[in-house]
Amino acid sequence: MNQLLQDFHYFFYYSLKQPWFFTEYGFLLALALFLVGYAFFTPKSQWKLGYLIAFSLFFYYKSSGPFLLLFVGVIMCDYLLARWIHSLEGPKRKALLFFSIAYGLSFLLYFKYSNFVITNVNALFDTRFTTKTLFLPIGISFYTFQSLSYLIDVYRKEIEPSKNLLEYGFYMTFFPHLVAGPIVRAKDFLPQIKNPLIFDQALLKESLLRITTGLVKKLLIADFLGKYVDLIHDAPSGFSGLEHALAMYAYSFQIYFDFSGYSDIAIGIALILGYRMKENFFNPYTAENITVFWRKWHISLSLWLRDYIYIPLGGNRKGTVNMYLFLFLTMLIGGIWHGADWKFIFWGCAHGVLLILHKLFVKPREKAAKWSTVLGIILTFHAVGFLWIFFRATSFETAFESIQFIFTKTNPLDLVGFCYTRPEVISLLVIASGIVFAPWKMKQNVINRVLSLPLYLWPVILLVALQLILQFRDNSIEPFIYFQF
Amino acid sequence: MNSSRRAILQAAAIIGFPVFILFGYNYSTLTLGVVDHPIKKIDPNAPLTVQAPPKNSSQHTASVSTIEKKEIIADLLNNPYKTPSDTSQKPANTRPRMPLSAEKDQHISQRILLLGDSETGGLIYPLNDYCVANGHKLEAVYTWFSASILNFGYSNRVDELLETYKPTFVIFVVGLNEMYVTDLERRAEAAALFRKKLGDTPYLWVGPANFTTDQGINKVFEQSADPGCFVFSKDLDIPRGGDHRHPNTEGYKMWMDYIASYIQSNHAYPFNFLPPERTNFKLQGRVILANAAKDKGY
Repeated sequence: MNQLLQDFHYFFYYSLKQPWFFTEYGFLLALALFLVGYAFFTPKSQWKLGYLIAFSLFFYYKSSGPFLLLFVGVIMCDYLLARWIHSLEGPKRKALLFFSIAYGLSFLLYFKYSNFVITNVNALFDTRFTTKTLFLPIGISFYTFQSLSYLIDVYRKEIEPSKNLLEYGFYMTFFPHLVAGPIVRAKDFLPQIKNPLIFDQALLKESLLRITTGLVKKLLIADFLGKYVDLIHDAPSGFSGLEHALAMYAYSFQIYFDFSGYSDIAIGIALILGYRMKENFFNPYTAENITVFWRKWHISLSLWLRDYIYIPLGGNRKGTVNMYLFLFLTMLIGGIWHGADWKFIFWGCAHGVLLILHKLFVKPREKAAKWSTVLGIILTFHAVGFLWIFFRATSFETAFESIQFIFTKTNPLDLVGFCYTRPEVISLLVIASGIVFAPWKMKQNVINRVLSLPLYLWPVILLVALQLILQFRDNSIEPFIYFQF
Repeated sequence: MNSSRRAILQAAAIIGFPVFILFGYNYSTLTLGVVDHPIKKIDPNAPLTVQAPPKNSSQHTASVSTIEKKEIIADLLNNPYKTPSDTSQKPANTRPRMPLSAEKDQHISQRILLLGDSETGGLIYPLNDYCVANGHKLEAVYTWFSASILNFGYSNRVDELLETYKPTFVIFVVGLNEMYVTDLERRAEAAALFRKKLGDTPYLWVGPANFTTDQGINKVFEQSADPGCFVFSKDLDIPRGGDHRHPNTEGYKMWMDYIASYIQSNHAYPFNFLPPERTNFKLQGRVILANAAKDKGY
């Protein structure tokens, strides 16, 4: 009983060691209680928005603690700036937009990139500026991009600025997308406030399926594979080439199941609340080339980069050479967005080069032969997986070490021993491959069958899933990979 | 009640019900199990003790592989030492056991520093037992997870530890993370640097307990150490833990017996290191943990 009271007390406090994720069982319980209250508001009520904002801010407080104040400050300023931009015309309008962008990016640059800049300046000019220990506010990369898109859309007159702080606050704080996306556009989301979905039995089943599959993807598959990946990358020189190659596959699946699992939970919760968020992944590893891959992977970021970086730079309107340059720059920014480290910059550049090479050498065809599509999928998956090594490795040095091991110390016969010593990793890789590469029709059939199950079975399904997760999990839950970006 | 409101309440109930049950189980003193597997609670630190199933049923639940493993371990316990060809000491269990009442002044009392990669983590307690029973002091243990000879050779960590703890004897265990390395010249350079750092301090360099055939790292270490100051562990047949790389608790005890036997009988500067009659003595020295993945030291 004492333990229960103590935990209840801590429920209202922020803990740096135990920030709230969707995967926290405490969060799921709080969500259920929150929904009981939420059900009693009328769909278009302003009180409902207030109630949702209050819970969203509490969620952010449990994830990021005192940085809640920064977040609230950013929302208030952006709200006022957008209205101000809207009231101006001519050069003043443009100047205010640049100021707004600079101000919006300043927090992101300070928290995420200042130490990186200082370290590199020190290395280049032999200076001795000291770096600071900075805690990156969770979700800052996502909400910064979201607020920038809002300000730019207002400037372009694509949307009217919100006249109601409550509505704008709701768009920014909506907790399903708050900390790790998808990056939602105001023009897609704000109209839904006026016309929320009518939440019925079909949507209820869909949302429960999304939440359950998201939890399983993240906690059962991604976290388990993550343990193996951590093992290899913590001491790369201690493992064989085959183990490094399998770690590459494992990480490819880990990052997909982790992030798409998060997106599934976010979309599922948003549906219950009456809002539909756009899909963030669409079978990305079945892409037959790198261009298609970026249309299917982290779709909200890809579209953001296209609409707010690539097209404003000139897109394909300023000649072929410039188009390649803009493509490269866009991917470079995408790499930097992911993290303040040369390995992310390299990763972004490498994807830029792959996109250019694809556009240069592969001509679009109406209908490709089946074998060529399969070959394309295999090549694209391996190219993407190979570049994930830079994404995951602890440093450039270890990334190259891992690659060197794959190419020089892989003995296929080691697979027999590996299957014997790590059957769980092999099993999970096979299961993950099955889920990722299964034909879309087959997946849709399974989904339809699950959706046809009677509603009274869902508490049991969720209970079994949650207990299975507990049975297999380690003592520590891995944070969502995209929380750090 | 409109349909939308009802659906939201149903969602709340469907999400809340299983979580409520799991929390209820978490805060209860009840512990359930399926066969001999406890049903875990939300709090990972919650004590889980499942009542042992009836004897008849438990015998049926053991898988063939478990039985095989047990047989292998039992075999190892009865005949634990498959002495490597390049060492000649007697197996530890054939030597006389040192009574706790032994005269302390017959011993040279050592201040020992245990240093190395993750393998040292498992050697801490067996070594501590040896130290206490033989009148030595385990001054400190420096366990550098994921480390290789490069970390010890190129960093200042060894100099700092020697300066701080002033040991009279160093036991150095490294190499498990270097089974596949082939840049042996670079490793040899780091090994030479490491050896130089030790100066006049007597030491025993313990080769890794190979889980696979190495690409020459054992040879590099042997050549870098002084005569009588290096012991191979590559051919030891000891039980391994869940990762199939590191020894398990029993394996570490066997390995420690083997190391102690070498110190006692074959080392260039031997001293008393007889097997303790009792184990699980209170840990004496300081244990410092580091991780080379985050702090490579150079």
